Amino acid sequence: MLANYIKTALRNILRNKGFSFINIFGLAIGVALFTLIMLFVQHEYSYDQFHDKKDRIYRLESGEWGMLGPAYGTDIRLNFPEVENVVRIDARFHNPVVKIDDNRFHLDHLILADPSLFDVFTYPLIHGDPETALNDPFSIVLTESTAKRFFDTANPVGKTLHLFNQWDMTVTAIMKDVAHSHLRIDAVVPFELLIRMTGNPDFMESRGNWNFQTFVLTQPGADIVALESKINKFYKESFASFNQVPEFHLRPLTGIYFADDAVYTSGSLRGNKNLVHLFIAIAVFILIIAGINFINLTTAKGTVRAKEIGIRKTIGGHRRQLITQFLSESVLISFFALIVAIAIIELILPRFNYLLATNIDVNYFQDPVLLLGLLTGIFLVGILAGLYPAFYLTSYDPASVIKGEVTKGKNAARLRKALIVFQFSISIILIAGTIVIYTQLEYMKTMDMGFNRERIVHMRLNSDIQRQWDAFEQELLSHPGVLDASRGNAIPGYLGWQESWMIDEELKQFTFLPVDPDYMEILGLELIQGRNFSWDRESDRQDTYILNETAVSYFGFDDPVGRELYIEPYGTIRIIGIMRDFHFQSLHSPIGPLVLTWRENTLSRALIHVSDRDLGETLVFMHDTWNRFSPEYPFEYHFLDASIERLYQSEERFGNLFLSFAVLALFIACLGLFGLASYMTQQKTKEIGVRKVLGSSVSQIVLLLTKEFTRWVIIANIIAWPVAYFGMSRWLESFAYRIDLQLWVFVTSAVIAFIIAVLTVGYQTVKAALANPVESLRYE
Amino acid sequence: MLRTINLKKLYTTEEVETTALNNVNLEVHEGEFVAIMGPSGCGKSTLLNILGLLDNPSGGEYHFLNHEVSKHTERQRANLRKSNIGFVFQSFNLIDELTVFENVELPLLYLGYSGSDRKQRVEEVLEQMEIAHRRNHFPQQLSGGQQQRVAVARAIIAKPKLILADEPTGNLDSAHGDEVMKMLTELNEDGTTIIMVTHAQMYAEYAHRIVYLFDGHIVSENILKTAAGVAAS
Repeated sequence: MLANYIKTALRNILRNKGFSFINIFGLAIGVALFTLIMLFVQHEYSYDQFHDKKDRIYRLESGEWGMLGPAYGTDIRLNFPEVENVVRIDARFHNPVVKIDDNRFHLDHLILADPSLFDVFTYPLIHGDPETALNDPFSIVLTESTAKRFFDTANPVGKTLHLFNQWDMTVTAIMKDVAHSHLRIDAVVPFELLIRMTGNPDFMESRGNWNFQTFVLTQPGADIVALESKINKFYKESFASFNQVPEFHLRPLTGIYFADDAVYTSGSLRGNKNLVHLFIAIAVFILIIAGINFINLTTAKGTVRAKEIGIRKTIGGHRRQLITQFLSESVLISFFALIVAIAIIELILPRFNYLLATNIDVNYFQDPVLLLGLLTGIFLVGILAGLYPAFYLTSYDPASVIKGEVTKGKNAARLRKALIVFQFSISIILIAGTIVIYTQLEYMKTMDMGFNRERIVHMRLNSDIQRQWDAFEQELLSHPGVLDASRGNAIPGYLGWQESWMIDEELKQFTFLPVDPDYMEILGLELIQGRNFSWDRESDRQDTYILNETAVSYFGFDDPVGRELYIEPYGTIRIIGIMRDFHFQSLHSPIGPLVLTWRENTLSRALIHVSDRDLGETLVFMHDTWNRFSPEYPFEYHFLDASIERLYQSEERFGNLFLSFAVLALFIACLGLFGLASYMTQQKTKEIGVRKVLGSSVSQIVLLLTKEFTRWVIIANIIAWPVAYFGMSRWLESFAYRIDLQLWVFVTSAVIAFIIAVLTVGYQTVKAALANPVESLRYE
Repeated sequence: MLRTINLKKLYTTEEVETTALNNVNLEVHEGEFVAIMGPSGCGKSTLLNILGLLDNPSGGEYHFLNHEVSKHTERQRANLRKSNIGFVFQSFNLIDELTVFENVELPLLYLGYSGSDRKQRVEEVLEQMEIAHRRNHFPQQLSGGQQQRVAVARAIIAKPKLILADEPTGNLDSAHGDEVMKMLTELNEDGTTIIMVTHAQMYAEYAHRIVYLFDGHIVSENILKTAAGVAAS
């Protein structure tokens, strides 16, 4: 029997090539996209899942802070029996240079960590002993691929490398490469190195300096809520003299990747749960759109199949058997779609990975879960898409279909219309979403952030250049294309240094930026009170600060310029100026408190203001000069405006992705509309013929046929607008500075959808309207 | 074989109620060949659909093989139908996607015959209908007469007790029409009961008895001959 079903199905597929193509291809696009998105979802949810003790690991946090001062880790380890171990991690170092003999390498992600790293987390070592690997302050553990890159050998344990142009580190262990961890790690050095880096022997006792993620491994079965309150009680007692004591909480390790309320963390990969949920929704909707085509085309084609159904019933087929037949047919079509979908996945996977900045690999035969999931999934899709048509078609009354009086199926026609409207609603929502994303992106890229970003070249300074800065600067300024030069610890948009002051017995966190006296001028930052740092005042080089307006009000200072204040744990500070607020972070965040100071040894980035005349030649000159001062390091430069645009890279990618989704959704919907239009014009052949015989013009006929489709698109808009408005308002809320949602966005989406719908049905309608009426009436 | 008592059929649309059959009393004995005649719209096909268990009457009784079937569900009717009744239609009603062999085989599939039994039986019937050489052709590749032979083959494949023919010659030229009538007569001589709806007097005369239907009533009967072994009532 099944063979008979399949045979009939195959012959039907071949007989109606156009319809079959639309069904299979549309479904294949839907399935391919759905699969890719689900792979992405799985990828996102697999972060930090590989640690054996993941259910006992927590990060100690306070408010928006995912990082704490170094002393907190020690407190927790020593005072709480529920805690088995603690590891502190400093992940602020990006791209330090490593020197091995005469070769130089960039080390992408270096972390500093306590030796307990290998006890708390599951980072298996290939060579070396996890117990001792980080015991010596000058030891370094490399990942497998980093070891290969640096030493060209699988086991470089015992070899040395030169780090930060300062320390000779000995390789003590090789760890497996780290994937799917929110911590990006290429090499680990002991946390203790911080004492030497800061030159502060008491550094580990510091409660300020909130720059370190602090992970707690609890004893099995520990009560986390109780532990949290114990920790808070402990600190309330320790800081009894303070007005306000920070409130602490423990965040499970597996929740860190999606934690959007832990604003301050560094070196961590962060996922976006909303985005993942949105993608799941889009995946489901696109699959539904493809399924709708199937339902619509199959029920529309029902009149053609009606005769077969009638005959099968007449000669004794039960309805259940017929339903089984139609379901097998839709499952078969779905399996064809799966084959096409696999080809599509292969084709677009690289682009998809690029857009999402992922590295998803699809290997059907090595991943039985994926294969099984796809097969089960496609089976379900086949059943779900086939269910309505199967029940609908087999409900035909055999006596009447045999006579050729096929019931016109008003209900099915109404359902088809509703489904088309649904498809177009989704498409319009996606189009509107795409427009909003691109508009917001453009707004952020071009908004005045309160500083000058044009024609500023910035570069990281190595220790050679830092040492000879004055001479280097003089040399640069001798060129007419170089207008000005200055140094700071970082450029706007990329400030990561956090500090805290104890003000009125309350710990106040802020962003900290060491600069030289030219920094403000080169960026065009405006002082509204007091003065800038001065080259002529030696005293400005220490304990002297300029605050932005937000910092002044946040600290609660009243007219602080010129005053000396005593601040725990820093001692006496002098505030010499107040600067106008500017956007020193991306426009996702509101302007926070910012404190500038002049601290020579931390000025690791140069900002050079260049003229746009002969820019190429100026850059060559800068390159030559660099090579003279620091021949061993490559000259790498960036433009500030480009760096600012890069802040919105993820939105840019998101926009591109959304655009792809919108195009695909609309494409699938149009495939269905095209099929349905061809069916509907066929149905109206007689009506068209009669109207033309009675004197109707071609344009009147086209209008008649287009009117209905137009009505659907209008209804689709009525549904789509509020949904798009609500959804995009929520998305925009993640930006501190955002566009207003305006009517034109929705009108444009509507017009796009309408034009595409008209073009889709246009061919069919014009063809039908131009046909000779004699031809169409001959059918009778 | 079958008997109807005051059979009624009404068709109701939103505004109009049409009476298609009104108090039809008909009895057909096993082995009989009955022709039903009457003008278009007189209710011939409606009657045939009810007799063939494709449709339920709106009122009255219908006894088929000693079952009162007028209240049967679609499923019960299908079960009775598939082993007892064969259909031949004016427009042949073959499934376009299936070959001659597969079309004829279909009733056996629904009856659950094994593959080898089906093959043997289909070959036999195709030989009988002299269409075996076309077994792998699709319906559109055949002439009208050939298609009707396939339809007859399908109707008799399950050895039904009753064959219902709805204008079986309507789409055929006279040579092919005669051929089909000859086949039906042969089947009847072999013991199959046949009820045929037709417009053509010359084909009706192949039957034992002609029933005239007008506006949903039986208006007269004309007994032409007596079927072998059947007493005319």
